[in-house]
Amino acid sequence: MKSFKYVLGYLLLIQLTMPYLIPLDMVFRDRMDYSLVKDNLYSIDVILDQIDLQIKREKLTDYIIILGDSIAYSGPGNAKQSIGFYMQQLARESSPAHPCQIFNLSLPAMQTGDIYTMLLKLDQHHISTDNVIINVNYSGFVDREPSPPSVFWLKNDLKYLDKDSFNRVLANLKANNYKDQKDLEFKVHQMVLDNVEMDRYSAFIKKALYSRLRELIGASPLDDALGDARPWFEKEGLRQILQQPEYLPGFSSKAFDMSINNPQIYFLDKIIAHQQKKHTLIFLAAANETLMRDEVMAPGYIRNLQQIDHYFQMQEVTYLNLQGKIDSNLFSDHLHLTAGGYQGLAQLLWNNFEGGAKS
Amino acid sequence: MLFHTPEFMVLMVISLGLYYFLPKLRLYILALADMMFYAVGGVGYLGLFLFITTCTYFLALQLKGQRRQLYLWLAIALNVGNLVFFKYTFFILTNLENLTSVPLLNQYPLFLHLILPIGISFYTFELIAYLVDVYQGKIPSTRSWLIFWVFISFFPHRVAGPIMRGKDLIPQLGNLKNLDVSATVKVGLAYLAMGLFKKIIIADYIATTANNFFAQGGNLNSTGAWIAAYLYTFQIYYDFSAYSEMAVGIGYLFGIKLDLNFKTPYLSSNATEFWKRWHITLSNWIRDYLYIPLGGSWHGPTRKYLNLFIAMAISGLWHGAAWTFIAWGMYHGILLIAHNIWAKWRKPSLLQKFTSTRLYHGIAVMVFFHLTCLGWVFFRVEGIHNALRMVLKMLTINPFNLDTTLAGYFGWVVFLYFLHLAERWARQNYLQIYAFWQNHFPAQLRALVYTIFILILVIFTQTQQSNFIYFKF
Repeated sequence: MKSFKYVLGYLLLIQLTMPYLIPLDMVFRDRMDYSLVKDNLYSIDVILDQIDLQIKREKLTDYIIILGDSIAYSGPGNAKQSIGFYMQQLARESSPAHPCQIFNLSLPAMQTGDIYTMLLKLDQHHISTDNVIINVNYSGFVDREPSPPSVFWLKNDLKYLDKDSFNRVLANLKANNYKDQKDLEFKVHQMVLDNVEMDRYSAFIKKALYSRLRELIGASPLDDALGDARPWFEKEGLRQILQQPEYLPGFSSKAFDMSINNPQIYFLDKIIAHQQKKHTLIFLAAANETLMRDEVMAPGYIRNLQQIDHYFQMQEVTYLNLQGKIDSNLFSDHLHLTAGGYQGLAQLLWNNFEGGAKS
Repeated sequence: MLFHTPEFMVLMVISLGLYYFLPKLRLYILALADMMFYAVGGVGYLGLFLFITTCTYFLALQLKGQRRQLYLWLAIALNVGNLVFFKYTFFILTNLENLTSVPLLNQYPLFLHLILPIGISFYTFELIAYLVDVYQGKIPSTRSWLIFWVFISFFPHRVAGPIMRGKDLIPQLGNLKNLDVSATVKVGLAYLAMGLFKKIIIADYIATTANNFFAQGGNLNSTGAWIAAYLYTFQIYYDFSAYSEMAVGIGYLFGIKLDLNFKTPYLSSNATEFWKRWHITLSNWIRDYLYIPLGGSWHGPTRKYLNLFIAMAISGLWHGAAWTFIAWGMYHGILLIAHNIWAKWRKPSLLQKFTSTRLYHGIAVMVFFHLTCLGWVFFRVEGIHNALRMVLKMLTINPFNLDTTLAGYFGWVVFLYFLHLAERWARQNYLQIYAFWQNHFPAQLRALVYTIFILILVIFTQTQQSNFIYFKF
């Protein structure tokens, strides 16, 4: 058993050095790796740790965090067509010597409950939330019957970071098939696995090895696009697909409940309270006015939009309603944009964030 | 709780720590650990398991007196009844419904929601073997409930075997205090490492590809059907033998020897040999507690063949409540009968000389390997018609019209077969390999290799935890 001592020594060495040996771009490049994070939510903490290390290593003070759903994530295109990538380019052009860093921590299907939890997680990881851009959607205000859940990804984190908020939305989560994480599983993770660096970084190392192998055998590099990013008018039958019951509720013209009984308002209030005296831009994503004309032009829809505008006018955040501000030709479907669309959006956000305008 | 999950590893390390440092309390520690591991799957099922085990324990104590036969049948009925209720009620009602057109399941919706208690098939067989052994006087009934509980519930083997016998495990448990655990740690770690490697690096990765093939269902062409069957053949072997080796390894870490279940089965040249290499503890159980009580080979060849067929059909049914499993069992029954007839027929013939050559052996191994692959289709595919359709496709393959786009997969299949051969070589030469490794490489280098091995296991563990195939039985 002589070698046992050495094994312990080697493992200790790996444990102590691994986070410092892994470059940030192995875990985070322009945005989080959806295919990896969706199967292992613990990897979000690894990404946040690495961002924190990068901030400390490079003594960064000027950086912007982007939080939101698939719009801010910039689906269905790939990372090089995302707003994080384009904003980073703008930041470099604006200040080549010391560009502002952009960390896009959005994920498809993120709800405002997830965004609020993410802010709490950023605090936990000592990452400043002084400069934050948040994306919200019209559909987020629609009555949940019971889908989608008010917290999609980070339910278990919310449970431990803000128990009151978690309990408030628990009924909705349970109605969406949420099963409470077993305490044993959580404790084992918290006490052991969250501290075993080899395990925490394993999925990222595997992916990096896989990419390297593809490179070696001359295969095309991995593309993290989630779907077809062509303009919507090039896609046959899209209008018919969007008339299906799963899509239409997101455009409901039923009057919104703008009280805190609506989880969207509850979490927005929480977010705004958290962001007091900080530089925060919240943008309301636009819908494709040509493709979804009937829905978007409905009087109820317009009234609801005015309600949202009114809500944000009362808050101490910079607010940007994008409805009508993006050319329909730049959409890839009813909500998402093409690469050109995201480039334009990045420019819009950059201008508004830097200017701190309230429109 | 799965062996290859971090949660299991943490709880096992805690149990092992207590076990090493408190030798006088070892039996109590194991009893408690067994309860904890089982309770993770559901406290209700732990209650049921405790109830069945305790009843069997008390009934076994009555197997000495005049009414011992009555108590034996009572205990067997209790155990078989428990198994039938949880595992076969739905199957029986569905078939009765199809037969009589009476909507039975609607009348008894409870049976739609029955969940199979973990390891029920395995602990039922172990309890029956114990009862019969005590009844036949092969072993005395154990007086200690605690020893009996640990014998049945010892967590490494509880979920999917090996199916242990009282004569092998109970004496070890009676002597736990004096066990020199350190003597078996190395071999335990070796088995554990081998099992983890087979599961994480081989079986789980084959599973992804095999599942993709089977997901194509009726769209598979003949070449694809063969690839799917080959891949599943290796997946099930690496998956199940991984579990068994991990169980043996963990047993050794506690100083307890559990039986090995596999001896590179795809190197078998016939069905009789296959069942001496595949799921050995189950086939021994079937032989001792089904085939022999049915009459074995004592009443002439026809009866022998019938007994073989019945025993294997029941073995198939034991695996799962579906006609596909019964068909798989019957198929192996036919293979066993065919081999028995062939062995008898070839004796006086001219072929005898040829059958003792290496060439014949090689051909026989390849032929039997392919027959095994065909059998696994029944095991894997849902629905007897779908399975038959796939087998038909495989049997009507045109060797001159293969789907060449799938050629790469054949390369993988050949590689997996070579791995199987390498495993046999390693098993046969493990003492020399171990001595060479210890004598020619310094501890620092050996440790580095072990560390890289651990690193590989951790990195390549699939994010989505995959269950062991045999857990569902």
